[in-house]
Amino acid sequence: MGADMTIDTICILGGGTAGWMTAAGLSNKFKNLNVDIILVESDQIGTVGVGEATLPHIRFFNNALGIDEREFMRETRATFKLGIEFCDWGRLGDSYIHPFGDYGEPIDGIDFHHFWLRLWQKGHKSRLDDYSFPILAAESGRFQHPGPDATKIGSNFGYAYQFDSSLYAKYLRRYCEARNVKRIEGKAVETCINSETGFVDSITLESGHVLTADLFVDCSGFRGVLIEQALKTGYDDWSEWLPCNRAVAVPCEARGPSLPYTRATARKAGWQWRIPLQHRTGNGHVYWSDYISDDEATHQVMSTLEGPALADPKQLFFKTGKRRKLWHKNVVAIGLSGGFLEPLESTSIHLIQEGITALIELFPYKACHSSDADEYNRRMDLNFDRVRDFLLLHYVATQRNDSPMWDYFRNMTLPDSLQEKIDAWQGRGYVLRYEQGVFLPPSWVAVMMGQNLMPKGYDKRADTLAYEAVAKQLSEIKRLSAAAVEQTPSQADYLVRINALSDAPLLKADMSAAP
Amino acid sequence: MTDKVLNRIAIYGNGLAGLLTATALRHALPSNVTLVLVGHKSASSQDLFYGSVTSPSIYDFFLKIGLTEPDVLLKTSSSFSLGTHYKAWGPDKREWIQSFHIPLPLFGTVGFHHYIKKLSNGAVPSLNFADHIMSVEAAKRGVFAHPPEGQKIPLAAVEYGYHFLPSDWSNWLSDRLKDSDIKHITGELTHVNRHENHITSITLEGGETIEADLFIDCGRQDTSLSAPNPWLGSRRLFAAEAIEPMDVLEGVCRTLTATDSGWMAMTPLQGKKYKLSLHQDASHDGVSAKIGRSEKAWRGNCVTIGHGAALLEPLTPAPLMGLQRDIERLLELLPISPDMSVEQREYNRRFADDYDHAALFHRAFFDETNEPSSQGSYWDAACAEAIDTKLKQKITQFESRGIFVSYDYEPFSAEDWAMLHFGLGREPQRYDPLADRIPNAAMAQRLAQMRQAISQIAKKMPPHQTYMTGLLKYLKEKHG
Repeated sequence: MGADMTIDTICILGGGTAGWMTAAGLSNKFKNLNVDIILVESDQIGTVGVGEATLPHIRFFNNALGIDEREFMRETRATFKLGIEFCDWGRLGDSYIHPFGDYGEPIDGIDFHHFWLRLWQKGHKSRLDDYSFPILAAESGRFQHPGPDATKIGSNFGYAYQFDSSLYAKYLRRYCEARNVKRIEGKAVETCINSETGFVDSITLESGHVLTADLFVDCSGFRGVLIEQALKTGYDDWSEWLPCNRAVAVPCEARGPSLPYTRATARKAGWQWRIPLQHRTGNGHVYWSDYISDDEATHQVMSTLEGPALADPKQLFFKTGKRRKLWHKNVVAIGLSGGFLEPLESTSIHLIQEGITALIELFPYKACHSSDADEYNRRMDLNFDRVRDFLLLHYVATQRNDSPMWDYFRNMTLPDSLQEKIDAWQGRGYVLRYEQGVFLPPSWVAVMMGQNLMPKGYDKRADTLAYEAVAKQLSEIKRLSAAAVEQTPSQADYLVRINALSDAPLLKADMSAAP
Repeated sequence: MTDKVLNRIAIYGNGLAGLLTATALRHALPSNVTLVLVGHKSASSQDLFYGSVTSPSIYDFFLKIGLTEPDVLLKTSSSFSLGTHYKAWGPDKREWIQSFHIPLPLFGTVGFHHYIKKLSNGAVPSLNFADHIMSVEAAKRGVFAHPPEGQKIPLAAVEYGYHFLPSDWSNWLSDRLKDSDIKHITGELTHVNRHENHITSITLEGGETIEADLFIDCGRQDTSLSAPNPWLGSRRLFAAEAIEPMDVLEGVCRTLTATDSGWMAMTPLQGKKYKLSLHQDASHDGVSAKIGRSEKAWRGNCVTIGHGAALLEPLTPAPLMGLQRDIERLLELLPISPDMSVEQREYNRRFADDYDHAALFHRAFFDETNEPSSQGSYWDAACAEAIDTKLKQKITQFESRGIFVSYDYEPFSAEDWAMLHFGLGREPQRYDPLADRIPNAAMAQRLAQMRQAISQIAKKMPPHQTYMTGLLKYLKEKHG
């Protein structure tokens, strides 16, 4: 095996969202190069596909593939997403939206929220939310694409989608098959490991078919057929921080116009999601089995659906954490085989995307130099660590004391990195920044503020402008934000206007129950 | 807010660090905050260790603290800088121009350095990384023009900093501060008065006592307001400077030539040439300083800024970048209550990251094998410095396949690292397999077009002196 020989064959094991996204990303990058991409999936193995809400980065992924947004939205029954509404997290009865975008705009290079804090601490009672276009638009169910001038209020926000991930996988499958990705139906029953290198040489399918490849991408889900069952890579268990370990998911009939945001409602032993799509609403309850039974957890979600259920509730089991090495030997784990973090901030698909991007940038030669894997693992570990801290913030920035789970979190000793962030915020509205990682300072501000961590002070430099001048600038931003929302159509109208609405009928419980 | 308001700040030290800090604080803070600048009488200064080249980040930094480019060009001897031309460097006597440039050209998502590697495997063996960098070409020819914004021509990727003489900048800033309400006191420090770990006041020769809520120590490395602080680093370097008159700006970058005991740099300034030499040995004349950083720059209510906190060899723009970052960090974390523990922790975290990251870049100038070089004491000492894991990763990844490993908020960009690696003769063993998407012949042609476009633009650009004369004339008319 020559060190400098380029890879001829890539085998992707598993055809869920992760598998087809990987196949799409690789087939697009390697078109015109002599690389065979084979995807093995089995219709007998279900996909998890609960991650139906996404982050704005998904748009770059789709754009790179050359996907037409409207066609994609019709095919996946997608709606636009401006952020996530969190209910009952700080205290019962609270709610706030974590938007995709900044609050206000910096004044003399100083973050806007310091000026808002200055006014607020003097008794000025506006909401920080009133200076965020995506929050105001989400609250009134409106959406339109950001305009061309990204410095203008109403144009400087990000957006993502809420879509049916199984339809997304199907859509990408068609994309891949048009680009010579070979799909093989089958179940891997055996893995052959090279005794010298420890690499996976081939997998054998139930049919007896033997598949040989230079590089394997393990998208087999929680089981990690190659990365764990074959290579015994090991798993870092993060249950200590994020102990929720089960979920029950169920789609229901949509009621009312579909909203341009996801909702995550805190419960006594977990939290419940609501994701509005064009044709139905996705629901699920993520919970910690120590504090609630499966039946109770199911009852919790079934009793709070907005419309009749469209299917039987589906139970999921997981352990939060990540594979010790996401790339080991010649196997790269992408998706649930690599790790699991609860979908509280819609990071599942994002982490798949990060994995694909890093794999493309560090794409190996046949010898799969360990230095490539080292750098891949370094980058992905950082991504996972930073998402974990951000998720944990939601649980610990709380005043809830109505159940043992919330007591557990209130009494938890936090990782230093997170504790320092919270202290700096509460002391003076300062956000500890990082460059590499998905959640930027505005996201941290949204959650800390939304969960009642009010800073005691603010940046001293925000006192340089006269109070009246600050008040005037803020009221102007507020006015412009409200005016921009007034000019924005409802999402329902907008989807029709841009031809992004599928003509498939809305799902009805009686239809799906019919034989 | 119920906390006691902190409105009295004393800055100790009237060298470049103290003057820049005072300028920045006066610009950023409301007028009810009083600032006192305490300077020593003795002129012995370590400011030459700030070097004579800034990075491009100086432009935004100036705007942030109320200074402007016209000001610095009209009121000091500063000139434009495209970087540093290193000569006779290391055991192989290497020569390259380390210029300011962002971004490097990309084809698809693949950096052009992968194509250089790929083509040099056989198709076009003589290809050279630096020939494709506009700022290198301009520096070679000694020509300059402001890069246009938002245009898709090679000149738009050129970045620039300034050449500067630390004492000129000090005079300029000192003059400017005379128009401010900052109280400037000169006198030697005799006593630091403390209560627990906070400084309550400082007493000067003659008995004058200055009270403040926050003390900023911008003094020399060996005089310190704060209690003794562990210093990380043990190399002592000696620097000496000389100024010669010069009618015409010679070149648009600093030249830095290696010697057995260190190096010698020549910086073209308006009307003069600035020579800075640096040595490892005490046998040479000059000002000495210890390279490294203190463990913590902020303790109690005293923040140490500049050489007292960290000192980098003026081999690159890193020393001034370090000072800029000290000041930026301070501005963002100015305390708002007597309990400064949150500010202190965060400041010290960023401080350590900033200097350690800059030190990686400097360490990368020297052989990574830790073997004595037989070149001279300077080289032996530099090569003996430990290599951090982060630097190992950077070099391994680059040499393996041209990947730039980066960490949060590093002072040096991937472009800087690329120029350094290539300049030192580090080369990737493999290229990005995606580079195979463009056939060799087509790529060779595209690279030839790039070189041609760069050379055409460079030919049209005016010599540094011509550009400067025209610009100064225009600025004088506009600003009076």
